[in-house]
Amino acid sequence: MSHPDVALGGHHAPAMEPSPFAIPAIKLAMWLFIISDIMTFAACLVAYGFLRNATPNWPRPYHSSTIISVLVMTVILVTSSLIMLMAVRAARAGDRANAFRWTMVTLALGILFAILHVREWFGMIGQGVTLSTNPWGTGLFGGAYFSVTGMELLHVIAALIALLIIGLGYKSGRYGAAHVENCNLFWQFINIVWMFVVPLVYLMDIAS
Amino acid sequence: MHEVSAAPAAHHGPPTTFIRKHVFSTDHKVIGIQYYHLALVAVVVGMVLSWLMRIHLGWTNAAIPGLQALSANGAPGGVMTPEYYLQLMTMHATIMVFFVLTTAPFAAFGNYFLPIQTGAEDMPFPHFNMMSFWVTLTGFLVLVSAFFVSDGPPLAGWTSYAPLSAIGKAAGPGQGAGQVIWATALGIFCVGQLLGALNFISTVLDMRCKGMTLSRLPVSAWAWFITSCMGLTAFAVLMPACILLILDHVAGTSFFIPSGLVINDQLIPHSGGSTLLWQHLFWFFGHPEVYIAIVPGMGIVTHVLVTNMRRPMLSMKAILYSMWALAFLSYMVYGHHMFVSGMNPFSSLVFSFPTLMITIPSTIVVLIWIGSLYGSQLRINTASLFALGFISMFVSGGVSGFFLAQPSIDIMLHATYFVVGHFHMVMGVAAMFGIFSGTYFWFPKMYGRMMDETLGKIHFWLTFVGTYCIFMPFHYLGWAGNVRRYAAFTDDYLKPLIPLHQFISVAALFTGAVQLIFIYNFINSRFRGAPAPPNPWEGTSLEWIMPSPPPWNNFGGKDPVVYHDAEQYGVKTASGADYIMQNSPEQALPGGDGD
Amino acid sequence: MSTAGEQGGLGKYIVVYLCMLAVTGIEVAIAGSNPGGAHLLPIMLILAFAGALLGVLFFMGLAAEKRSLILFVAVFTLFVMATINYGWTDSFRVLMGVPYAK
Ligand code: HEM
Ligand SMILES: [Cu+2]
Repeated sequence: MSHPDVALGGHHAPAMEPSPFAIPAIKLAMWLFIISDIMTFAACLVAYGFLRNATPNWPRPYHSSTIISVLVMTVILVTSSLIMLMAVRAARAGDRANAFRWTMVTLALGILFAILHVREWFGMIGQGVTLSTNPWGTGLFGGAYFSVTGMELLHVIAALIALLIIGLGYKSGRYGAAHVENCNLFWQFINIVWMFVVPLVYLMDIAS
Repeated sequence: MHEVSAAPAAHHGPPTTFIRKHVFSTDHKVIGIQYYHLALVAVVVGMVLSWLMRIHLGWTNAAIPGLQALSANGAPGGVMTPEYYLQLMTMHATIMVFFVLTTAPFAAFGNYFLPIQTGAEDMPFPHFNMMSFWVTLTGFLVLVSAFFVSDGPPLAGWTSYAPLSAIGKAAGPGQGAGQVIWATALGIFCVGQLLGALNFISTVLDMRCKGMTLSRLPVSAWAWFITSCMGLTAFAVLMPACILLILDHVAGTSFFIPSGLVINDQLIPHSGGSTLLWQHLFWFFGHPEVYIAIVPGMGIVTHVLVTNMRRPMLSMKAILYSMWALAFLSYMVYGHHMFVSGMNPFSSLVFSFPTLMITIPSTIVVLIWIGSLYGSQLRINTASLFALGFISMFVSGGVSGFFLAQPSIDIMLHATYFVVGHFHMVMGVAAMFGIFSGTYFWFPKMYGRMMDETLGKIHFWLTFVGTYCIFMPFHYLGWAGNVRRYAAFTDDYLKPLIPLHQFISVAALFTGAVQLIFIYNFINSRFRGAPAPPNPWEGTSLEWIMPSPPPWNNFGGKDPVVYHDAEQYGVKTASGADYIMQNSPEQALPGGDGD
Repeated sequence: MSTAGEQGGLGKYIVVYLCMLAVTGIEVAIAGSNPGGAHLLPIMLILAFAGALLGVLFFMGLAAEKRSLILFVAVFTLFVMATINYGWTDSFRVLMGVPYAK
């Protein structure tokens, strides 16, 4: 175990009681943040579900081109999640060079995902979807679509910045493996939110 | 200091510059005091607003000199318009609920004493902690700025029910910019409290000194921990709700605005949203929030009482489990605020049942306090008096909850002064008494000087009598059909109630003036009080093993070791003291009355 | 470190990875062949939860943590998620005017 790892892992400095969950404080904090963030997303999704369920003329605009693009985005995101795990493995083994490399690959895939996401947005805007209007049905659609996916995009961007900072910092020795692990937790969480966004926002609304 | 630090940033060096020491400090004690001072400023603002409201309710046509300076349109010639009354009411409630009742008992005392009570040198993330305060302060400043925009602050109340809160200017003065500012301020506030909650929870779980097992934590530390767990998920819901509300204003969305809404003969160009959706999101946050305001007070009061009773509670475990039960149930009862909202009537049943259940843990806590007090030789000082006052207020205000919990009764009482009486006693005054109790108890530790006990007792008795005079009659007003959020009572059936309103107004002005005694005592003692010994109340928990005020690194760089829980009172010891401190290896001799 | 227990091969991760993609594939197949179908929502939700569970347990490594953490996260999250979902049941009422809306 390298030195910073002890610092982050441990409240085992002899003068402290062990953590009941046996995880360092920063990891606990990340889990807690994720729990709270789940509720933020849950509130958005409840709002979306409420309005969608209560609105008979909810548009179902997606054709196979959108679905294929969403599938590609999913594959990219899930792959990036797998690759981030390689970074964690390397970091745990103290292999700074490889951990950095894998983090950067994750970052690149994440950027690709974000670009496709924005492209998707522009596609919608090009079809005349705004926050309050669209060509197909209730005006609520745009507001719900952009706020739920916007929330996701906001998280992706935050995570990309974190990946960059932590990746560089880990390479230079400023950060420890625990930071990389934390970054992984956040990145995986975004992946998980996407698993709800895809069926609830896109697949429910395939045009018939 | 250890060679290997125990947590990421907890072990920092002593701050050297003034700015690091007092302004952008990462020291949890400084942050706690900053939060406390914020709450003091906020409570003064909130109280002045309540005076203005009370004057208007008692003497509707009276001019309040100088009020026109605050808002020329809202109070032409010093007489407030009905709208301006509602605007002041909204600001009063928002400031009080968020920036006083949440910040003082939870963020202020919690920041100061939670790490100390767990035996830590600081919280695990001091920088987040610092941000938490500055973000909260920003939220406060943003909120107050609503007074200075063209139409003034919003008038939709602290609950900001849609659609009036969502459609903008058409709903009245303040509903444009003011309402957006309101929602922005609360969104910011949520971020600050989330940062705080992260720190609190990880402090309790990961930053306990040797021997401080979870079961040995003082009850106040548990209360802050439980509150943080509620805050973590409640504020996380209010924040997106506020964002959606802002979008309705600035981006033309219609999350909370239904179709075909005509207001002031004006068709609102929105469609399809739902007003119930706002209420669901708001109260999902709102009910846990009221427990966020009261549970820290319960912890403080239990801590103060057990110290002054000189014997353990009948069952500290039962108090702890009850607080957990309150937190748990608080997520399942929120619909009791919506019995008349047009919500599915089956839901009323679903929400009424847990609401009635939540009275059980509340009652258990009260019974244990009273049972433990019974026959104890309680040391009467200002802190313990306010703790008793807390119990009294909590019971008086809680009993009305039993009525409101039943939909059939609530349909009559909803939106009347009965509800206002309920929550002012059980949340407003009780939580304030918890804050006062904590202040008189911990002031010596925080500022290194004793407060004046005589002034303190005068403050207590006058406040106690005064608040009962204000808020007890509210219940009667409610039964008499006095609707809440009315700016004046000119309807025939309300006219006979005006003398009572005038009595209440006098009591409110009087009780408010009494608080000057507290402020004088606070400031005077801060500079001229007798120097405080380390352990003035002969307490057992770790805050009392350090000098008053504590050094920047709490325990002087030496982590304490703990051998007991914090309830070792009424014991027999070799030295003759009737208590054993948590960090003393001494064992009690047989025959104490704590056995 | 505490999480060192799961140093096993990459094989497990790849299986999970494939399962996650399969879940998405199944979702697309069901939704695509039956657009706007009546029971789409529960099916989608169940599948999404299955995918998310895989992610939380293995990619986030919760399965390898101490039982106490697993319990804490699971109970806390599922409870608050369940309670917030009560809110949108009212949307049926807005839509269909039942029960008792008229
Ligand atoms: C004994 C347990 C309690 C029960 C059964 C109870 C029940 C209720 C009910 C049913 C209402 C809704 C009344 C209405 O709007 O028609 C209500 C309102 C309220 N309660 Fe309680 N309550 C209890 C304890 C508390 C506590 C401990 C607090 C705060 C610390 C609190 C704070 C409030 C507030 C702030 C409101 C009104 C919010 C508003 O409409 O502005 N209650 N309570
Ligand atoms: Cu409530």
